[in-house]
Amino acid sequence: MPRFFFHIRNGNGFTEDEEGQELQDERQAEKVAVRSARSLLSAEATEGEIDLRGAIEVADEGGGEVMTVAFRDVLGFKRGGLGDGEAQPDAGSAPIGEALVSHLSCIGELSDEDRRAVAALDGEIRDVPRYQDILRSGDHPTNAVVILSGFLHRYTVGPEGARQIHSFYIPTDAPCLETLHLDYMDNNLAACVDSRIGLIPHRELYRLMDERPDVLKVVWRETLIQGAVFREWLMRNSNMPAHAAMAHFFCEIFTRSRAAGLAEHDSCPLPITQELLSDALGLTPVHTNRTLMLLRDGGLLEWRSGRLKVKDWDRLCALAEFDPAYLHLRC
Amino acid sequence: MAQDPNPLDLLVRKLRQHATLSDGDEQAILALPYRMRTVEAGSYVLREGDPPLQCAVLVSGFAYRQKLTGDGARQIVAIHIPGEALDFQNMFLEVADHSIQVLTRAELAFVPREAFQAIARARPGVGNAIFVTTLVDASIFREWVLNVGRRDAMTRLGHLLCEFALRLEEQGIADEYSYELPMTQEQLADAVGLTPVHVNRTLKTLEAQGLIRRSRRNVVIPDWERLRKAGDFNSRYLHLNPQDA
Repeated sequence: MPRFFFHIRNGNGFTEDEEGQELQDERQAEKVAVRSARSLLSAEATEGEIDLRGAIEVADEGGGEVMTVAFRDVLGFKRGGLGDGEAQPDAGSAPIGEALVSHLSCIGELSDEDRRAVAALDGEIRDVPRYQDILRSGDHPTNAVVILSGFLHRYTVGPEGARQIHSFYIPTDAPCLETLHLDYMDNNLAACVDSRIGLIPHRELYRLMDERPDVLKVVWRETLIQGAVFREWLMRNSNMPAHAAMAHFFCEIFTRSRAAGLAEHDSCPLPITQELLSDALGLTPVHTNRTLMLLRDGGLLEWRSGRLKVKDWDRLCALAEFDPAYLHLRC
Repeated sequence: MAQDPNPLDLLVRKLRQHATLSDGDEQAILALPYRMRTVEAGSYVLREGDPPLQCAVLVSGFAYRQKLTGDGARQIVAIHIPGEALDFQNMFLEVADHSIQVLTRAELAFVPREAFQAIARARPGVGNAIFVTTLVDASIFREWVLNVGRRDAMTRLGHLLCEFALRLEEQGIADEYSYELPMTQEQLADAVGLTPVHVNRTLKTLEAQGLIRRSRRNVVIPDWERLRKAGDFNSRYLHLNPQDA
């Protein structure tokens, strides 16, 4: 039987498994990884704080990575009070505050106390069907949005009815934090696929930012980074040839997914249609499809069933001249 | 296998930890009939459901008792070290309620069960020593129930490592502060009711905190008092010095 090694990577660093376990196959290894992650988290639960950042990395005898099982993916959560009716199954998505902590931690430094305060933020959980608008141009939002599962995008519609997508959002992202200070939406926020979002009342965030200057700083930084991403997209869409622009898009999504703990080795969720991608890159659907074939046949990536698999990261980055500096990630 | 003049010497040493034996008692034990056998790691000494007809004395290597849940999860309920008799638990029970396996390649001296039953009846001193030894086993079981039921991971493993240290030292197999622990993470996990991954991390934490040092299967305890505290370890349940009780 093959031997699998279960390394732990989390806030405490890297715990190497030098001994491993003999198991039938990868499916068995995945079961063991999930069970192990749950047992580690259950010990944390008895101490009063669960740290969902981190993962169990499964390797084979040659040291090759077999899979990564993120802690956040091994637990479901049910929230709300008794009598709230049937509790919603919440497969794999972290509670609202936890998701926001995880997002902000990729952006700036927060003390443990700040983290706990942000993690305690709660609000309404809402399921949004595919393509439905969450916020429309002209709306006056009173809640901040945090993505718990799914995929969102922001867009505006031009005078001819053409849609331009400005950005995509992945789980734990908090799109539209600028509405804390800009009172109405000048664009639309919609779901790319069936998604679940958390809504944190703005007043809760105002209160927290009043009490905790470092939270204020990180939220501010978050909105500034959004601006940086828009600038990068502007440069990409107006100055780069289609194949490089598309490669750039894939590089960004993969980098952000990895930072958010959503990537698995060389792949990450990308559950959008080619049509949405066209509207993000400003290409026609036909051009998008042809460009995609080019990247795929070049052995750079695969994209199917809502998953992006990067086959040659170095060449993809070189093609895109991708420099992640504009994402200002700190994780 | 035959260098040792009498492998049952180890058993005498073990019984003397908890009881007094006269010279005659000792001679009678050494005169028990036995058959030596060397078995490979993982071999069964006794399987659940079997009638225990022989009583094995562990001469070298480690052994463990285990029970399985309905869906096959294993709990190791005891670990045995050289000199310990593996079947005193079954001396008067007709069917084994758990299995005994060896952890490592091991040498065993098999003594017919009737021979032990006879010596226990004929020599009250020996009978008493066997009785006390099974009571101490039961005391260790009780401590393990406490260990897996009420202690956190660090304390559980710390406690187990303390227990091995004292038992091995008492049996003259290792220095109290350094010993060979021939158990894999999986086996340790099944003994303390954690997953192997959790055991790995907990051992690393114990190491990082300077409570133990490890190299391969060797465990060194640099500061007994600190590990004793971390493991919530009080040796009373081992009943090593009956005169102090």
